[in-house]
Amino acid sequence: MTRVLLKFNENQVDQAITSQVIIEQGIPLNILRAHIEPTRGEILLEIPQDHVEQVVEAFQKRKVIVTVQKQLEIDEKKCISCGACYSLCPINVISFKQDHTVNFDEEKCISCGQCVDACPVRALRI
Amino acid sequence: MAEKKLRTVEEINEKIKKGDAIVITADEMTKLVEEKGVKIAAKEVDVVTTGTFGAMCSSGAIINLGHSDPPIKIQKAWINDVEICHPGAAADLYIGASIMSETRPFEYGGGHIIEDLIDGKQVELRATAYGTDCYPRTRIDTTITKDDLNQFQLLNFRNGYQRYNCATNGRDEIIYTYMGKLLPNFGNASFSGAGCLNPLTNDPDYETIGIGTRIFLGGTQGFVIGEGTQHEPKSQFGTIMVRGDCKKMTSEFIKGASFTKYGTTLYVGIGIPIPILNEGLAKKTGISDEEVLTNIIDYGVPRRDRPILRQVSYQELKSGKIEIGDREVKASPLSSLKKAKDIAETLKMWIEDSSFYLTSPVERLPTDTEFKPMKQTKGVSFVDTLTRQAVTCKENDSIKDVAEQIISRSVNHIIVTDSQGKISGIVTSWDITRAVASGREKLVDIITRKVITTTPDEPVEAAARKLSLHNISALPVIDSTEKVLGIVTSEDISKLIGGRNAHD
Repeated sequence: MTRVLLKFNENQVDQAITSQVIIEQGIPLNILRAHIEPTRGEILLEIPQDHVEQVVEAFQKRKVIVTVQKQLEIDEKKCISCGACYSLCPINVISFKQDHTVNFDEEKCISCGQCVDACPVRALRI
Repeated sequence: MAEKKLRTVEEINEKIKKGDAIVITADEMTKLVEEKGVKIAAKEVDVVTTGTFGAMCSSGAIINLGHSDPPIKIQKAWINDVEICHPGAAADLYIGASIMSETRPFEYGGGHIIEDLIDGKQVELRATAYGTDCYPRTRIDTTITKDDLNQFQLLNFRNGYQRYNCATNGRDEIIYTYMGKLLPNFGNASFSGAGCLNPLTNDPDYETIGIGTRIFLGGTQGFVIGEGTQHEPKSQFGTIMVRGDCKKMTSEFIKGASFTKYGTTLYVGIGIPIPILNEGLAKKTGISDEEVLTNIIDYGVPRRDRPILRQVSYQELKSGKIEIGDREVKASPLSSLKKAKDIAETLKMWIEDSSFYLTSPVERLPTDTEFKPMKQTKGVSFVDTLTRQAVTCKENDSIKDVAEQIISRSVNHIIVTDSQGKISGIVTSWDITRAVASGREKLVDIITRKVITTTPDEPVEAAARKLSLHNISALPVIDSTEKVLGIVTSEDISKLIGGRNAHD
C-alpha cells in the first residue's frame, strides 16, 4: 500500500472526485483521513501497490494535487523511550517491546500528527 | 522494637570489595520474594538496586565561572538566551532546568543547557552588572564549555517522587500540562515513576536513604543531601534533594526536554542501592507493581485540589491501558521504564565490579513532614462575583432587532438562547456590523455556534485564560443544564486581576 495526500481547491471540494476515481478505475481506495473546509480539502488515501500510477494519474487529470505522503520519522538517537507519545496514537502504531523500548510500526501511521508535539525530546516528525 | 540485623553496611562493603556481594534489581527482588518468600530472599540478597528516569522540573546546576578581567559582579546573566539565576557572589550562577530561552521559548531551556554542557558543547554566556569599585565591568560576552567551569554541580531540590499522580483530562478540549498532552473527554492518561523499581518506593520508611547516601545520578555517583521540597512521606509522596558532579555525567542519563505549551524541564536518572539490613527491608523491596497505588486525577480542573477519579496500581498503568468510567483508555508512561531498568542494572554492575560502595545515612530524613498549601492573603475570586446580566435574543430575531438592543443596552455581546433559556450561540456587535456591510439580513446566518463559556464557580484566573487563549472579550456564564445565567467581560476581569497585579 502507498499513501498519498490529495489536496482539493475551492472548486473541487463539493465534487465527488474520489468516488469518480474509484468507479472509473475499479480500484478500492482506503480513506484514512479527510479534512474538508469550505475553501479547501485534504484526503489521505491508501492505494494498492500495483495501481498507484494509474490512480494518481486519474486524480491529476482532475487537477487534484497529489503528493506521496511521508510517514512518521523517528530520530532513534534522540528517543528516550519515555512513551509520552504512546497514548496519543489513535491507531496502534506505537507499542512497547518486552524491555520497554518504544516501538513504532510506521507502516500503519496515518500521519495525524498527534504524537509529534507530545514528544519531550522532539524525536518525532511527519 | 528494632528489627533483628542480618548484616551491616560495613559488612556489605567488605563483600563488595571482595566481589562477593549478592546484588539484584528491585524487579528481580519482587520475583524472588514471590517465589521463595521474604526470609530466604533476606538471607540471600545483600543489595537491591532501584532506578527511575523521569522529568524532574525542580532540577538545575550550580556553575562557577571564575573571574573576568577586569572583574564583574554579575547581576543578570543568560546562557544561550536562557536567563540564569544569580543566587550568590560575583561568579556563581544557577541554571534552572525549567527556565525557558527568551528566543526559543518552550523548545530550549535550562535543562537543555545542562545537557549541552555535559555533552561537551560550547554555550554562549552574556552577563550584565551595575559596576562597583572592586568589580568595575558592567558587561561580558563570552563562550564556555564545561572544562572552563570551576564547578559544575547538579543540585536538584526535588527529585525522585516515591509515586506520582496519573493524569487525565475531563475537559472537552486538548490540554497541555506538565503531565504531557491530555486528550479531551478522558481520551488518554499519563503517569510518571517506575512503580516497583522506583527508589523511594523500596525504602518507604527511609531506613537506609538519608543525608549522605551515595546514589547513581546522571550516569555517575552522586549523593542525597536531604529531603526534597514538598517531601510528604506519610502519603507516599516523599522526595529527595540530590547533588552530583555534572562533569562526570553522561547525557544518556541527563536530558533536556520540552513539554509543548507547558515549558522546559530536565529528565534525571537516579538509582539508589538499598542494603538488605533486615527482613523488613527484604519485604519492602519485594513490593510489586500491583501494590504500588496512586490516584487518577482530572487535570482538566484548573484548581489546586483536582478531583480524584479512582485509585490505580502501577501494574494496571504499566499494562498501557486503564479503565476510566466504562471506557478503556491508553496510558502513557512519561518516565522511561526502559532507562529506569538500565539504571538499576548499571548500579548493580558497579557494585558487582567493586566500583560503588554503600553508605549509611549521616542523618535520617524526616518521615512526618507535611506539604502545606500556599498561604494566600486574599481569597479566590470566582466568576459569580463578576457576572452581569446578559442581553439575550432568539434565533428568529432580525439583525435590526439585535442591533437596536446593542445600542439601547450598550453591550457588545448578545447571547442567543432557545425557548428554555439554554445557550444556542452568540452574536457580537462586530458580527452585526459585518452582516450589515455584506447585506445579510437573517440572524441565523451570522450566529457563532461554538461558544466558549464559563460557570459561576470557575476561578476568575481560569476564565481570564480562556479569554486570552481564544482571543475573545466575553464569556457567557451557564449552569450545568446550559441555561444562561449571565455574562462576564474581559473588561471586568482585567479590572479585578489588573488591580491585584498593581500591588505585585
